[in-house]
Amino acid sequence: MIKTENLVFTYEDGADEVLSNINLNIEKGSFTAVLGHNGSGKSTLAKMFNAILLPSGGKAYVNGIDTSDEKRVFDIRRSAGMVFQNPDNQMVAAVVEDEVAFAPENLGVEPKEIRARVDECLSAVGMTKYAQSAPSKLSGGQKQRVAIASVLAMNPEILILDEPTAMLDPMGRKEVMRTVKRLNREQGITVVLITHYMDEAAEADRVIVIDDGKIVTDGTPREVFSEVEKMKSLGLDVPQVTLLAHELRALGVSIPCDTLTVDEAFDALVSVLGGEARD
Amino acid sequence: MIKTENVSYVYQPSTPFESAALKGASLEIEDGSLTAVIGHTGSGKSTLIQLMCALLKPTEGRIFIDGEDITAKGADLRAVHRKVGLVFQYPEHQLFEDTVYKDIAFGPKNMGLDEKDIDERVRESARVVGLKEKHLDRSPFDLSGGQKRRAAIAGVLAMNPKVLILDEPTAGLDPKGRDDILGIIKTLHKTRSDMIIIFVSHSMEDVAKTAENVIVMNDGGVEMHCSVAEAFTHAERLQEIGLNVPQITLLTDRLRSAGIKLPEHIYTVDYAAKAIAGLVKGGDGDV
Repeated sequence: MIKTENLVFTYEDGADEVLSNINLNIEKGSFTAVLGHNGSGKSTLAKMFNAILLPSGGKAYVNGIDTSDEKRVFDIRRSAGMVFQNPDNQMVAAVVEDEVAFAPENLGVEPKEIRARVDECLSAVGMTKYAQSAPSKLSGGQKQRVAIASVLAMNPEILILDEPTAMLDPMGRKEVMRTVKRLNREQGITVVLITHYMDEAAEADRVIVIDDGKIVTDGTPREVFSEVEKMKSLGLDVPQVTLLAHELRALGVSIPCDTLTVDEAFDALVSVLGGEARD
Repeated sequence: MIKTENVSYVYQPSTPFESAALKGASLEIEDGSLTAVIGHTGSGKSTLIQLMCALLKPTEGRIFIDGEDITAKGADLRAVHRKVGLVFQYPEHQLFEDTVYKDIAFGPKNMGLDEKDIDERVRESARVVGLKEKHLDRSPFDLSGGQKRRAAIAGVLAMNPKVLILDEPTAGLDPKGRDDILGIIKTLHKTRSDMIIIFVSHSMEDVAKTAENVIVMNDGGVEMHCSVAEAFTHAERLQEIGLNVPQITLLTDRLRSAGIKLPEHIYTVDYAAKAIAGLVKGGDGDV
């Protein structure tokens, strides 16, 4: 679905490489989280996936289309929709349903079809009730869901989200993550999620860690987070229960090092300590 | 000490858009304390801190700082603004000077200090937030995200406020940047014994790692004001009002209800690891 070959990016000729030699293949229908500290290059990489930025060297392909092919840039952006950190920067209309209709209108979609898509997309993000509301009156999580609906209205195959929950409170974060996961599972949309939250990354199928413009780790969340020391040295975190397992092992308690969720930690500890097992 | 007496705030009163953001909040915050304010969006936490800085005037009730009523008619607001330093959300968006030095110096300069005092304060504040001498001559726009934020905090510290309030100081930072900022807050708390530090957060994990006390806001009211340890004994209530409880608290609560004798108030990973390892090593007798 997304493929890069020896991809290199620099802002000017001769400047330091922001991305160096990235070879990546993201499968259709997968859910990939991209982690990395600020300045690691992860947002730059995301911008390669819908031709906001173009490679300085190597290639990026989206849905088989070379992103450097200027004539195909609209095809690329239609198949790879992007949601940014701050929904306020992305909103253009004064009414929620107009906001969602904006992209298909610009794509010249038939009015009847637009109506159908708007209804469908608002329902997909659980915002049907707010179709007539003003975006400025919504909470952060609701705004972000409208931003997702507006991108969905283009019928993209790929959804790229660049720290979509960074400005949201815990409830808003949950709303957005639930929506993204549902779109991935039920509609088969390929998701690339850039995030600083390890618990969000833990829900993906695959975690890629970028450091200094290079891919340094790539695997399932279980594989990636079990390397606690490595993640720390990259300036990243692991979920609290994974860290707990790591510290317990250091203290001589035998518990799997790839414990990822509260449920798993609970089961492992009950079997070590006794107590009543979970239903 | 900061004291709020039955403080309410209504946005756009007497209009169809009237909404009460704060409903009768009464609080006392001691000198030298480190307090986190937590609550979901719209719970009233931002309104509360803006009232404490005298950026908003309460619709009802009074606020005292060191015994002085800052809500009284004719109160010296300039003096309040010097005494209470506020670091806004995303404070790096407010950097504007051509060097970091000048940006940090902006506050003390406006206070009319002489060059020597200004210089001392700039260097001291930069040191506290972990910026190096070499950063001072750079443009603030050449710094990394985390450094920019630290420069903005230094600008507020240079005013030498008695009260430091930070509105979501870690929003949008990566884990390392977040820990750096929380580390600065902790160091300030240790080294400035008088300073009242208040920070707003969405993350119970940050609160657990950093604060002594916590004010939990819900629907315009003060839901809890207690030690962090005590707040975590109400994990269920915290979740009910839309806050996240650290994984470690969820886990140890569940272990306890499964009959495993762990202490209450576990909210850091280190403590949990020690407690659990203690149980394992203690053998059946102690369990």
